[in-house]
Amino acid sequence: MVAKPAAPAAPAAKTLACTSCGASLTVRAPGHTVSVACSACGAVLDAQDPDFTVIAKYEQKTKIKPDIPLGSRGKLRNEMYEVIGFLVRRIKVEGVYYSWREFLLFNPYLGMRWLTEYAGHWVFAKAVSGRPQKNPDTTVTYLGATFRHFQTAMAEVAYVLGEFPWRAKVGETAEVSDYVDPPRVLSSEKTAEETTWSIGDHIEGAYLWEAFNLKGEPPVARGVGIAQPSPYEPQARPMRRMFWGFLGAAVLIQVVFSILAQGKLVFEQTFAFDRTRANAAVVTEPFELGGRRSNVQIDIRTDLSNNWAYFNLALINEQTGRALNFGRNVEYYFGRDSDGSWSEGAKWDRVYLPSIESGRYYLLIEPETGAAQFTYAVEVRRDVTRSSYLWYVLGLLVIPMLIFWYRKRSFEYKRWAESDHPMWSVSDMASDDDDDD
Amino acid sequence: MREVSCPSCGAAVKFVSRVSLLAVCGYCRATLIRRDLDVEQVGTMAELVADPTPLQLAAEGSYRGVHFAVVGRIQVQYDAGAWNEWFLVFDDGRPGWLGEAAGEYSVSFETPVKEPLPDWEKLEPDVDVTLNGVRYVVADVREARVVGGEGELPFLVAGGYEIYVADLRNATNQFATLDYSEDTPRVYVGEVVEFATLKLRGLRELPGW
Amino acid sequence: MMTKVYAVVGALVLSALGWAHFTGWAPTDVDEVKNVPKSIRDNPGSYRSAYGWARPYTGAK
Repeated sequence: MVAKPAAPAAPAAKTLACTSCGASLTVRAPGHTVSVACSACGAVLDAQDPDFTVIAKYEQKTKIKPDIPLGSRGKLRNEMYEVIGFLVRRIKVEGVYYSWREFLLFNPYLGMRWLTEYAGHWVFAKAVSGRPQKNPDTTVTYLGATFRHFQTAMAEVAYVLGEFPWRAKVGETAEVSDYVDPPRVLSSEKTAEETTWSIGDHIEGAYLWEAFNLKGEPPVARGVGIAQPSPYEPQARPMRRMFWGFLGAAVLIQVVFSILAQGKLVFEQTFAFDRTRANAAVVTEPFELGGRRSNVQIDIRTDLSNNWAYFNLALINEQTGRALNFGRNVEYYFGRDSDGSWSEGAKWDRVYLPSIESGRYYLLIEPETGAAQFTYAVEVRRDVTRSSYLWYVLGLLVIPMLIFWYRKRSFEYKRWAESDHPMWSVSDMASDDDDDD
Repeated sequence: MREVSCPSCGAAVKFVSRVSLLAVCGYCRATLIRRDLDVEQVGTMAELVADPTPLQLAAEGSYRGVHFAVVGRIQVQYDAGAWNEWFLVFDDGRPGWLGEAAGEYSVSFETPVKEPLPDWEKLEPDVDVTLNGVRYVVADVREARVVGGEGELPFLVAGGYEIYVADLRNATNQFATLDYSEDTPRVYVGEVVEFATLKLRGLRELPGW
Repeated sequence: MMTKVYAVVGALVLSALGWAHFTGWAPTDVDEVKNVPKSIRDNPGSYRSAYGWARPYTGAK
C-alpha cells in the first residue's frame, strides 16, 4: 500500500454577498485574484480575506456593461478561458481622453490572459516574465523579433469590474509603452514598484464573438489596429518578383524581335514638286515587301522652309488591288524674335503602317502645298523595330506597382496615425511647406 | 527507487530519485532523512497553504522530449505572494525543478557556472549577470520563507526556513535562479515554458474545468 | 488580391507586346480601300458586256 499524497483542496469558484451592499458577487478565480469589484455598488473587496473586507468604494456614476460579460467562457486558439475582470483605461493626449477596454481571462491551468479592445480592434495578450532588450534606436528585441516603438503614455484606470490579481483601483496610473511588430504588440507597464511586460497578438472581433457565443456584432473597427497585420505586406515580395519577371520578359521579347526584324530599305526616291506642272501626283515603281506580315515605315524628307505640305498617300498591292489610304502633314517654320531663334514643326515625317501582308506594292503620292516648289525624298522600310513599345510596357507594368505601394503605405499611415510617430502622408511628401505642430 | 516504511506510522514511503535526501510521509507528514541503511525521522513537516495550483505529486509530463515525474514540492511565501518549486525526476536520471509562480512555469536544472557570482548585497533588479556565457538581467530579488514541503526533495527543508533568491531573465525567455540560502550559492539554469508544451498528465481535478 | 490582378495585367501586357511585334501593329489610322481601279476605264459608270469584247458597240446610235 503506497501512501497517496494529500494535496490541500483546490478552492472552487464561489458566490457570496457583497460586504458593502449585499448584492450577489461571484469570485471566479479564488486563490489567483487579490481584489474583486462589486458591479452593483462599485466597492472593491479583498479577495484573499475570508471576510472580503472592503478595500475601496467608488461612486460609479455610469455603469458600463462590458461587451463580453463577466463569466463568459470561450475557447480561444484551442484554450478555454473565462472572463473574470473588466477595466476601462484611458490616456490624455492634447487634452482629449482616449479610452480602451481590457478583459481579464482566466484558466486555472494556463493562467491569466488579457483581451484589449480599442476602436474595434482586439489584442489577445499575456504577461511575460522575460526581459525584452531595449535597443538604442527605441526598438525592443524579444524572442528574436524587433518591435518598433508605437506610443508611451500615462494610462489611468477609469472603471473596474470583477477580479484582478492585484489591488485594482480607479485612478491608479501606470506608464504604458507599446512596441509593434505586426501582428504582435509588446507592451510594458511601469509603476513605482515594478515594470511588467506583456506580449499580444491581433485577434478578430468576429472570432471572439463566435468563441464566446455572443449575440450581436463586435464593435465596429475604425482605422487600422495597432497590431493588425497588413494584407499588403505578404504580397510585397511576390509583386516585386512579378515586376522584375515581367520586365525581364518584356526586354527579352523586345530583343528577340529586334534581332528578327529585317529593317530593310525597299524603296528610295526623290521627287520635285512644281506648282506650275499640271500633274503633281506620283505613282512609284513597284517594290517588294517580303517576309511575314509586318510593319512598313515610310519617311518623307522635305526641304520645306517656312511652309507646309500635305501628302495624300496610298500603298497599293499590285496583285490584290487593295489600297491603304493615309495622309501626312509636314510643316516647318522658323524665325527670330526677342527671345532668340525659334522653330516649329519639322521638315520630315515618319509613319508606320500596321500589319502589311507581303507582296508587290507601289505608292501613290499626291502632295498639296503652300509652297511654289519643293523637293521631297520618300524612303520605305520593311519590318522595323518599334523600341518605344518597350517604354509603354514599362509604364504599364509600373502603374500597378505604384498603386500597390500607395495602398500599402496608406494602410501603415493609418496604423501609425494615432501613435507617437505618425507617418508623413503622401500629400505631405509632395508639398513644400513646413508645418510646425 | 527505494521504498521504506515510515518509522512514525508505518506507511510506505518512496525515494524515486538517487539524489533525494528527504521525503515527507504522505500520511503523517513525518520528515524523513535517508541514511545508508534506513531512514530517520527528523521532524514533522508544516502544513502547506491551500493554493489553486493544478499540479500535484505523481503528475507526469515531458520537457524537450524527455519524460519526467513530479516527485516533490516546496511551497514558498514572500511579501507579494507565494510560489511553488516542484521537484522533477527525469527518465534520464537528471533532477530538475519546475517553478510555478503567478501562472508562469519555468524548468531549470542545478548547473555549475564558470563565472564568479556577484555578492548578494550587489544584486538588485536590472543588474547584468552572465552565466556560462549567457547574459541575463536580474528581474527580482526576494527574501522569502518556506511554508513547507511534500514528497521527496534533494535537500533538507522545513517550515520557516529563510531563503534568499534572485531570478535572472533575458530577451529569449531563458531563466536562472541564484539561491544564496546556504553558504555556497546554488545556480539553477533553464527557461520559461508554456504550460501546454509540458503535456502534463495526472493533474488535479479543478471543479468546473 | 493585387498579386492576382497584377499577374493578369502583366500577362496581358506582355502578350500585347509580343503580338504587336509579331504582327507589325502600329497605331496609325489608315483607310483601306478595296478594288482600286487599275485604269480610268475601270469605273462604276461604264458598261462592260458580259459576252466578251467581240462587239465594240456601247450604246449611242
